[in-house]
Amino acid sequence: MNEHNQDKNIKDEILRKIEAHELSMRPKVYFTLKVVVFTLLAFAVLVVTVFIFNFILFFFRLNSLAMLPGFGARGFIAFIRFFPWEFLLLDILLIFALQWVVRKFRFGYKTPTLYVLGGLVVVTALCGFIIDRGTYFNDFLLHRADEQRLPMPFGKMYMQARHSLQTSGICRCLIVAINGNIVTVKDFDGSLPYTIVLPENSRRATTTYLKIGDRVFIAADVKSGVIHAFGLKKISTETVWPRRLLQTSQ
Amino acid sequence: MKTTATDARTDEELAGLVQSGDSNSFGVLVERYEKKLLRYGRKFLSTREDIEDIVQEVFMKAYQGIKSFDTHKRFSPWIYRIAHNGFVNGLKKKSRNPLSYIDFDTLFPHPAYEDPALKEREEKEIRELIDKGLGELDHKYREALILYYLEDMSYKDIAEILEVPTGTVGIRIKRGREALRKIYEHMDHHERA
Repeated sequence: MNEHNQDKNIKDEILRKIEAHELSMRPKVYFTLKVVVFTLLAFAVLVVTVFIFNFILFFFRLNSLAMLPGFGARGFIAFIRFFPWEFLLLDILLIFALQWVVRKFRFGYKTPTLYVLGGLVVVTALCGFIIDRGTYFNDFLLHRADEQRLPMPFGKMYMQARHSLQTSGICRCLIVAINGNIVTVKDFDGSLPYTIVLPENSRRATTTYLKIGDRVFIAADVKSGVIHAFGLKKISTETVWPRRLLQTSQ
Repeated sequence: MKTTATDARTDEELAGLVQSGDSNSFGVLVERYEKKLLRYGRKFLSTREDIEDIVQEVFMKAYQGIKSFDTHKRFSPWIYRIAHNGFVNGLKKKSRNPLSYIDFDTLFPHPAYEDPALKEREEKEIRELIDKGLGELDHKYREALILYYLEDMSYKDIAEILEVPTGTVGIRIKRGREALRKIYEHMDHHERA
Protein backbone atom coordinates (compact mmCIF):
# COMPACT_ATOMS: atom_id res chain seq x y z
CA MET A 1 0.00 0.00 0.00
CA ASN A 2 2.80 2.31 0.95
CA GLU A 3 4.54 1.47 -2.30
CA HIS A 4 1.31 2.12 -4.21
CA ASN A 5 1.02 5.56 -2.58
CA GLN A 6 4.61 6.34 -3.44
CA ASP A 7 4.06 5.14 -7.02
CA LYS A 8 1.04 7.37 -7.26
CA ASN A 9 3.03 10.32 -5.92
CA ILE A 10 5.55 10.32 -8.76
CA LYS A 11 2.90 10.08 -11.47
CA ASP A 12 0.61 12.61 -9.81
CA GLU A 13 3.50 14.99 -9.22
CA ILE A 14 4.49 14.85 -12.89
CA LEU A 15 0.89 15.37 -14.08
CA ARG A 16 0.42 18.18 -11.59
CA LYS A 17 3.51 19.97 -12.91
CA ILE A 18 2.26 19.54 -16.48
CA GLU A 19 -1.17 20.93 -15.54
CA ALA A 20 0.41 23.86 -13.71
CA HIS A 21 2.65 24.56 -16.72
CA GLU A 22 5.70 24.01 -14.52
CA LEU A 23 6.74 21.32 -16.93
CA SER A 24 6.40 21.68 -20.66
CA MET A 25 7.56 19.98 -23.82
CA ARG A 26 10.41 21.53 -25.68
CA PRO A 27 9.37 22.43 -29.22
CA LYS A 28 10.64 20.23 -32.06
CA VAL A 29 12.56 23.18 -33.50
CA TYR A 30 14.76 23.12 -30.36
CA PHE A 31 16.00 19.64 -31.21
CA THR A 32 16.38 20.48 -34.88
CA LEU A 33 18.46 23.51 -33.91
CA LYS A 34 20.54 21.37 -31.57
CA VAL A 35 21.40 19.04 -34.44
CA VAL A 36 22.18 22.00 -36.68
CA VAL A 37 24.42 23.59 -34.03
CA PHE A 38 26.37 20.38 -33.45
CA THR A 39 26.69 19.84 -37.19
CA LEU A 40 28.02 23.34 -37.68
CA LEU A 41 30.34 22.93 -34.70
CA ALA A 42 31.69 19.68 -36.13
CA PHE A 43 32.19 21.32 -39.51
CA ALA A 44 33.93 24.35 -37.98
CA VAL A 45 36.29 22.19 -35.96
CA LEU A 46 36.97 20.06 -39.03
CA VAL A 47 37.78 23.14 -41.12
CA VAL A 48 40.22 24.42 -38.49
CA THR A 49 41.80 20.97 -38.14
CA VAL A 50 42.24 20.62 -41.90
CA PHE A 51 43.63 24.15 -42.17
CA ILE A 52 46.22 23.53 -39.48
CA PHE A 53 47.30 20.21 -41.00
CA ASN A 54 47.50 21.88 -44.39
CA PHE A 55 49.68 24.58 -42.82
CA ILE A 56 52.00 21.96 -41.34
CA LEU A 57 52.43 20.44 -44.80
CA PHE A 58 53.00 23.89 -46.26
CA PHE A 59 55.60 24.62 -43.58
CA PHE A 60 57.38 21.40 -44.52
CA ARG A 61 57.31 22.26 -48.19
CA LEU A 62 58.33 25.88 -47.77
CA ASN A 63 61.39 25.01 -45.73
CA SER A 64 62.16 21.57 -47.24
CA LEU A 65 62.20 20.15 -43.73
CA ALA A 66 61.93 16.60 -45.06
CA MET A 67 65.53 16.87 -46.25
CA LEU A 68 66.98 17.53 -42.82
CA PRO A 69 67.01 13.94 -41.49
CA GLY A 70 69.17 13.05 -44.50
CA PHE A 71 71.98 15.18 -43.05
CA GLY A 72 72.77 12.81 -40.20
CA ALA A 73 72.41 13.40 -36.49
CA ARG A 74 72.74 17.18 -36.75
CA GLY A 75 70.14 17.26 -39.45
CA PHE A 76 67.81 15.12 -37.35
CA ILE A 77 68.25 17.41 -34.35
CA ALA A 78 67.52 20.40 -36.60
CA PHE A 79 64.41 18.59 -37.86
CA ILE A 80 63.18 18.11 -34.29
CA ARG A 81 63.95 21.76 -33.56
CA PHE A 82 62.12 23.18 -36.56
CA PHE A 83 59.17 20.82 -36.61
CA PRO A 84 55.98 22.80 -35.88
CA TRP A 85 55.16 20.82 -32.75
CA GLU A 86 52.71 23.38 -31.40
CA PHE A 87 50.59 23.11 -34.52
CA LEU A 88 50.70 19.33 -34.45
CA LEU A 89 49.66 19.28 -30.78
CA LEU A 90 46.83 21.71 -31.51
CA ASP A 91 45.68 19.55 -34.38
CA ILE A 92 45.71 16.41 -32.22
CA LEU A 93 43.63 18.18 -29.57
CA LEU A 94 41.21 19.38 -32.24
CA ILE A 95 40.82 15.86 -33.60
CA PHE A 96 39.91 14.63 -30.12
CA ALA A 97 37.46 17.52 -29.78
CA LEU A 98 36.00 16.65 -33.17
CA GLN A 99 35.71 13.03 -32.12
CA TRP A 100 33.72 14.17 -29.03
CA VAL A 101 31.34 16.18 -31.24
CA VAL A 102 30.94 13.34 -33.74
CA ARG A 103 29.98 10.99 -30.88
CA LYS A 104 26.94 13.17 -30.23
CA PHE A 105 25.50 11.68 -33.40
CA ARG A 106 24.23 8.13 -33.67
CA PHE A 107 26.72 7.10 -36.35
CA GLY A 108 29.47 8.42 -34.07
CA TYR A 109 28.71 6.50 -30.90
CA LYS A 110 27.86 3.31 -32.78
CA THR A 111 31.37 3.23 -34.24
CA PRO A 112 34.40 2.17 -32.20
CA THR A 113 36.42 5.18 -31.11
CA LEU A 114 39.53 4.01 -32.93
CA TYR A 115 37.67 3.95 -36.24
CA VAL A 116 36.25 7.43 -35.63
CA LEU A 117 39.69 8.81 -34.74
CA GLY A 118 41.33 6.99 -37.62
CA GLY A 119 38.70 8.24 -40.05
CA LEU A 120 39.11 11.81 -38.86
CA VAL A 121 42.90 11.61 -39.17
CA VAL A 122 42.61 10.25 -42.72
CA VAL A 123 40.06 12.88 -43.77
CA THR A 124 42.12 15.68 -42.20
CA ALA A 125 45.37 14.49 -43.76
CA LEU A 126 43.82 13.95 -47.19
CA CYS A 127 42.06 17.30 -47.29
CA GLY A 128 45.14 19.09 -45.95
CA PHE A 129 47.32 17.42 -48.57
CA ILE A 130 44.95 18.29 -51.40
CA ILE A 131 44.77 21.91 -50.30
CA ASP A 132 48.53 22.36 -49.99
CA ARG A 133 49.71 20.28 -52.91
CA GLY A 134 46.76 20.67 -55.21
CA THR A 135 45.96 24.37 -54.94
CA TYR A 136 47.71 27.72 -54.64
CA PHE A 137 45.92 28.46 -51.38
CA ASN A 138 49.00 28.70 -49.14
CA ASP A 139 51.13 30.44 -51.75
CA PHE A 140 48.38 33.02 -52.13
CA LEU A 141 48.16 33.58 -48.38
CA LEU A 142 51.95 33.80 -48.09
CA HIS A 143 51.99 36.42 -50.84
CA ARG A 144 49.31 38.41 -49.03
CA ALA A 145 51.24 38.09 -45.76
CA ASP A 146 54.38 39.43 -47.45
CA GLU A 147 52.32 42.43 -48.56
CA GLN A 148 50.96 42.85 -45.01
CA ARG A 149 47.47 42.24 -46.32
CA LEU A 150 46.67 39.15 -44.32
CA PRO A 151 44.83 39.72 -41.02
CA MET A 152 46.32 38.48 -37.77
CA PRO A 153 46.95 35.86 -36.57
CA PHE A 154 47.22 34.36 -40.06
CA GLY A 155 49.55 37.11 -41.24
CA LYS A 156 52.02 36.37 -38.46
CA MET A 157 51.64 32.62 -38.99
CA TYR A 158 52.59 32.84 -42.64
CA MET A 159 55.30 35.46 -42.24
CA GLN A 160 57.01 33.40 -39.57
CA ALA A 161 56.69 30.20 -41.59
CA ARG A 162 59.61 30.98 -43.83
CA HIS A 163 62.99 30.29 -42.26
CA SER A 164 66.14 32.03 -43.39
CA LEU A 165 69.78 31.11 -43.27
CA GLN A 166 70.78 33.87 -40.93
CA THR A 167 68.01 33.38 -38.39
CA SER A 168 67.52 29.62 -38.51
CA GLY A 169 70.40 28.17 -40.42
CA ILE A 170 68.26 26.63 -43.14
CA CYS A 171 67.42 27.95 -46.55
CA ARG A 172 66.29 27.09 -50.03
CA CYS A 173 68.71 29.03 -52.15
CA LEU A 174 70.08 29.63 -55.59
CA ILE A 175 73.82 29.11 -56.20
CA VAL A 176 75.41 32.24 -57.62
CA ALA A 177 79.09 31.29 -57.25
CA ILE A 178 81.25 28.31 -56.34
CA ASN A 179 84.85 28.74 -55.23
CA GLY A 180 86.35 25.57 -53.85
CA ASN A 181 84.50 24.86 -50.61
CA ILE A 182 83.01 28.36 -50.49
CA VAL A 183 79.59 28.75 -52.05
CA THR A 184 77.70 31.98 -52.57
CA VAL A 185 73.92 31.67 -52.55
CA LYS A 186 70.81 33.82 -52.62
CA ASP A 187 67.37 33.18 -51.19
CA PHE A 188 64.70 32.52 -53.80
CA ASP A 189 63.23 35.93 -53.11
CA GLY A 190 66.47 37.51 -54.27
CA SER A 191 67.81 38.79 -50.97
CA LEU A 192 71.45 39.73 -50.45
CA PRO A 193 73.86 36.86 -51.09
CA TYR A 194 75.24 34.65 -48.35
CA THR A 195 78.66 33.13 -48.28
CA ILE A 196 78.67 29.56 -47.04
CA VAL A 197 81.62 27.47 -45.98
CA LEU A 198 81.33 23.79 -46.70
CA PRO A 199 83.24 21.25 -44.63
CA GLU A 200 85.98 19.44 -46.39
CA ASN A 201 85.38 15.81 -47.31
CA SER A 202 81.76 15.72 -46.28
CA ARG A 203 79.44 13.69 -48.46
CA ARG A 204 76.47 15.56 -47.00
CA ALA A 205 77.75 19.04 -47.91
CA THR A 206 79.66 18.98 -51.15
CA THR A 207 79.67 20.96 -54.38
CA THR A 208 80.23 17.86 -56.46
CA TYR A 209 77.62 17.71 -59.25
CA LEU A 210 76.55 21.32 -58.51
CA LYS A 211 76.76 24.31 -60.80
CA ILE A 212 75.82 27.98 -60.76
CA GLY A 213 72.06 28.39 -61.06
CA ASP A 214 71.23 25.21 -59.19
CA ARG A 215 68.58 25.39 -56.51
CA VAL A 216 69.75 23.85 -53.25
CA PHE A 217 68.63 23.23 -49.72
CA ILE A 218 71.21 24.15 -47.09
CA ALA A 219 71.37 23.40 -43.39
CA ALA A 220 74.04 25.31 -41.53
CA ASP A 221 75.33 26.58 -38.23
CA VAL A 222 76.08 30.27 -37.92
CA LYS A 223 79.19 30.86 -35.81
CA SER A 224 80.65 34.34 -35.34
CA GLY A 225 78.89 35.55 -38.45
CA VAL A 226 80.28 32.70 -40.57
CA ILE A 227 77.81 30.24 -42.06
CA HIS A 228 79.10 26.66 -41.88
CA ALA A 229 76.94 24.20 -43.79
CA PHE A 230 76.56 20.66 -42.47
CA GLY A 231 74.14 19.63 -45.18
CA LEU A 232 73.57 20.68 -48.76
CA LYS A 233 71.32 19.03 -51.32
CA LYS A 234 70.17 19.94 -54.74
CA ILE A 235 66.44 20.57 -55.10
CA SER A 236 64.91 19.26 -58.28
CA THR A 237 62.88 21.84 -60.22
CA GLU A 238 59.61 19.99 -59.82
CA THR A 239 59.85 20.12 -56.03
CA VAL A 240 60.49 23.87 -55.95
CA TRP A 241 56.91 24.58 -56.75
CA PRO A 242 54.23 22.26 -55.50
CA ARG A 243 52.80 19.84 -57.97
CA ARG A 244 49.38 20.98 -58.89
CA LEU A 245 47.26 17.87 -58.83
CA LEU A 246 44.62 19.35 -61.01
CA GLN A 247 46.93 21.27 -63.32
CA THR A 248 46.73 20.31 -66.93
CA SER A 249 50.06 19.75 -68.65
CA GLN A 250 51.13 22.52 -70.97
CA MET B 1 -2.98 -2.23 -7.26
CA LYS B 2 -5.17 0.06 -9.25
CA THR B 3 -3.92 1.11 -12.61
CA THR B 4 -5.56 2.71 -15.53
CA ALA B 5 -7.70 0.23 -17.40
CA THR B 6 -5.41 -2.01 -19.41
CA ASP B 7 -4.33 0.21 -22.22
CA ALA B 8 -3.74 -1.73 -25.40
CA ARG B 9 -1.90 1.12 -27.05
CA THR B 10 1.83 0.67 -27.54
CA ASP B 11 4.37 2.88 -25.83
CA GLU B 12 5.17 4.43 -29.20
CA GLU B 13 1.51 5.26 -29.88
CA LEU B 14 1.20 6.83 -26.44
CA ALA B 15 4.34 8.87 -27.01
CA GLY B 16 2.89 10.08 -30.28
CA LEU B 17 -0.26 11.19 -28.44
CA VAL B 18 1.83 13.00 -25.84
CA GLN B 19 3.63 14.82 -28.65
CA SER B 20 0.21 15.96 -29.90
CA GLY B 21 -0.57 17.41 -26.47
CA ASP B 22 -2.29 14.54 -24.64
CA SER B 23 -0.65 14.67 -21.21
CA ASN B 24 -2.84 11.84 -19.85
CA SER B 25 -1.09 9.46 -22.21
CA PHE B 26 2.13 10.48 -20.52
CA GLY B 27 0.58 9.42 -17.22
CA VAL B 28 0.08 5.95 -18.70
CA LEU B 29 3.72 5.83 -19.75
CA VAL B 30 4.80 6.87 -16.26
CA GLU B 31 2.72 4.05 -14.78
CA ARG B 32 4.24 1.53 -17.16
CA TYR B 33 7.85 2.52 -16.54
CA GLU B 34 7.93 3.77 -12.98
CA LYS B 35 8.46 0.41 -11.31
CA LYS B 36 10.96 -0.70 -13.95
CA LEU B 37 13.03 2.44 -13.52
CA LEU B 38 12.88 2.25 -9.73
CA ARG B 39 14.10 -1.34 -9.94
CA TYR B 40 16.81 -0.28 -12.39
CA GLY B 41 17.83 2.56 -10.08
CA ARG B 42 18.17 0.22 -7.10
CA LYS B 43 21.14 -1.38 -8.86
CA PHE B 44 22.94 1.95 -8.97
CA LEU B 45 22.06 3.73 -5.77
CA SER B 46 21.10 2.47 -2.37
CA THR B 47 18.95 5.28 -0.94
CA ARG B 48 15.27 5.05 -1.88
CA GLU B 49 14.88 8.81 -1.78
CA ASP B 50 17.75 9.34 -4.20
CA ILE B 51 16.32 6.74 -6.56
CA GLU B 52 12.84 8.25 -6.49
CA ASP B 53 14.19 11.76 -7.02
CA ILE B 54 16.12 10.62 -10.04
CA VAL B 55 13.22 8.62 -11.46
CA GLN B 56 11.01 11.68 -11.15
CA GLU B 57 13.66 13.75 -12.89
CA VAL B 58 13.90 11.14 -15.62
CA PHE B 59 10.20 11.42 -16.35
CA MET B 60 10.40 15.19 -16.31
CA LYS B 61 13.26 15.11 -18.82
CA ALA B 62 11.40 12.56 -20.89
CA TYR B 63 8.36 14.86 -21.06
CA GLN B 64 10.49 17.88 -21.91
CA GLY B 65 12.27 15.95 -24.64
CA ILE B 66 9.32 13.92 -25.92
CA LYS B 67 9.25 15.79 -29.22
CA SER B 68 12.74 14.51 -29.98
CA PHE B 69 11.50 10.91 -29.77
CA ASP B 70 11.03 9.21 -33.12
CA THR B 71 7.78 7.23 -32.85
CA HIS B 72 9.05 4.81 -35.48
CA LYS B 73 11.66 3.63 -33.00
CA ARG B 74 11.12 1.82 -29.70
CA PHE B 75 10.28 3.90 -26.66
CA SER B 76 11.87 1.61 -24.08
CA PRO B 77 15.55 2.17 -25.04
CA TRP B 78 14.85 5.89 -25.33
CA ILE B 79 13.57 6.30 -21.79
CA TYR B 80 16.14 3.89 -20.39
CA ARG B 81 18.85 6.07 -21.95
CA ILE B 82 17.53 9.08 -20.08
CA ALA B 83 17.35 6.97 -16.92
CA HIS B 84 20.85 5.60 -17.45
CA ASN B 85 22.30 9.10 -17.77
CA GLY B 86 20.39 10.20 -14.68
CA PHE B 87 21.60 7.29 -12.55
CA VAL B 88 25.18 7.51 -13.76
CA ASN B 89 25.21 11.21 -12.87
CA GLY B 90 23.73 10.30 -9.50
CA LEU B 91 26.41 7.67 -9.04
CA LYS B 92 29.15 10.16 -9.95
CA LYS B 93 27.90 12.53 -7.28
CA LYS B 94 27.77 9.82 -4.66
CA SER B 95 30.86 7.91 -5.54
CA ARG B 96 34.06 8.59 -3.65
CA ASN B 97 36.09 7.30 -6.54
CA PRO B 98 35.89 9.24 -9.80
CA LEU B 99 34.36 7.23 -12.60
CA SER B 100 36.67 6.61 -15.48
CA TYR B 101 36.31 9.10 -18.30
CA ILE B 102 38.32 7.05 -20.74
CA ASP B 103 36.25 4.16 -22.02
CA PHE B 104 38.63 1.59 -23.43
CA ASP B 105 35.80 -0.80 -24.31
CA THR B 106 34.60 1.59 -27.02
CA LEU B 107 38.09 2.17 -28.40
CA PHE B 108 38.36 -1.04 -30.38
CA PRO B 109 35.80 -2.93 -32.40
CA HIS B 110 34.49 -6.15 -30.83
CA PRO B 111 32.43 -8.84 -32.50
CA ALA B 112 28.85 -8.82 -31.24
CA TYR B 113 27.23 -12.20 -30.94
CA GLU B 114 24.15 -12.54 -28.82
CA ASP B 115 23.37 -16.11 -27.83
CA PRO B 116 19.79 -16.46 -26.48
CA ALA B 117 20.34 -20.10 -25.56
CA LEU B 118 23.39 -19.24 -23.48
CA LYS B 119 21.50 -16.41 -21.83
CA GLU B 120 18.73 -18.78 -20.83
CA ARG B 121 21.17 -21.26 -19.33
CA GLU B 122 23.11 -18.67 -17.42
CA GLU B 123 20.29 -16.37 -16.45
CA LYS B 124 19.41 -17.95 -13.12
CA GLU B 125 23.02 -18.16 -12.02
CA ILE B 126 23.81 -14.63 -13.09
CA ARG B 127 20.73 -13.21 -11.35
CA GLU B 128 21.88 -14.80 -8.09
CA LEU B 129 25.38 -13.48 -8.57
CA ILE B 130 24.06 -10.02 -9.41
CA ASP B 131 22.10 -9.90 -6.16
CA LYS B 132 25.17 -10.87 -4.18
CA GLY B 133 28.03 -9.09 -5.86
CA LEU B 134 26.73 -6.13 -7.84
CA GLY B 135 27.98 -3.44 -5.50
CA GLU B 136 31.56 -4.55 -6.05
CA LEU B 137 31.33 -4.45 -9.80
CA ASP B 138 32.54 -1.63 -12.04
CA HIS B 139 29.47 0.44 -13.01
CA LYS B 140 29.92 -0.04 -16.77
CA TYR B 141 29.73 -3.84 -16.37
CA ARG B 142 26.98 -3.52 -13.82
CA GLU B 143 24.67 -1.59 -16.09
CA ALA B 144 25.24 -3.95 -19.04
CA LEU B 145 24.44 -7.01 -16.88
CA ILE B 146 21.36 -5.36 -15.35
CA LEU B 147 19.95 -4.36 -18.70
CA TYR B 148 20.63 -7.76 -20.25
CA TYR B 149 19.68 -10.16 -17.47
CA LEU B 150 17.27 -8.21 -15.32
CA GLU B 151 15.62 -5.85 -17.78
CA ASP B 152 15.79 -8.44 -20.56
CA MET B 153 17.03 -6.06 -23.22
CA SER B 154 18.77 -7.07 -26.43
CA TYR B 155 22.34 -6.10 -27.29
CA LYS B 156 20.98 -3.62 -29.81
CA ASP B 157 18.71 -1.94 -27.26
CA ILE B 158 21.49 -1.83 -24.68
CA ALA B 159 23.81 -0.24 -27.26
CA GLU B 160 21.20 2.48 -27.84
CA ILE B 161 20.78 3.08 -24.12
CA LEU B 162 24.48 3.22 -23.32
CA GLU B 163 25.37 4.94 -26.62
CA VAL B 164 28.13 2.48 -27.40
CA PRO B 165 28.79 0.11 -30.29
CA THR B 166 26.93 -3.21 -30.13
CA GLY B 167 30.22 -5.10 -29.89
CA THR B 168 31.08 -3.16 -26.75
CA VAL B 169 27.86 -4.38 -25.13
CA GLY B 170 28.87 -7.98 -25.75
CA ILE B 171 32.35 -7.50 -24.33
CA ARG B 172 31.02 -5.74 -21.24
CA ILE B 173 28.53 -8.50 -20.54
CA LYS B 174 31.24 -11.12 -20.97
CA ARG B 175 33.70 -9.29 -18.73
CA GLY B 176 30.97 -8.42 -16.25
CA ARG B 177 30.03 -12.07 -15.93
CA GLU B 178 33.63 -13.07 -15.35
CA ALA B 179 34.20 -10.29 -12.84
CA LEU B 180 31.00 -11.19 -11.01
CA ARG B 181 32.03 -14.82 -10.75
CA LYS B 182 35.41 -13.80 -9.34
CA ILE B 183 33.76 -11.50 -6.80
CA TYR B 184 31.42 -14.26 -5.75
CA GLU B 185 34.27 -16.80 -5.43
CA HIS B 186 36.18 -14.30 -3.33
CA MET B 187 33.15 -13.62 -1.12
CA ASP B 188 32.42 -17.30 -0.80
CA HIS B 189 35.99 -18.03 0.18
CA HIS B 190 35.84 -15.39 2.91
CA GLU B 191 32.55 -16.68 4.24
CA ARG B 192 33.96 -20.19 4.50
CA ALA B 193 37.06 -18.87 6.22
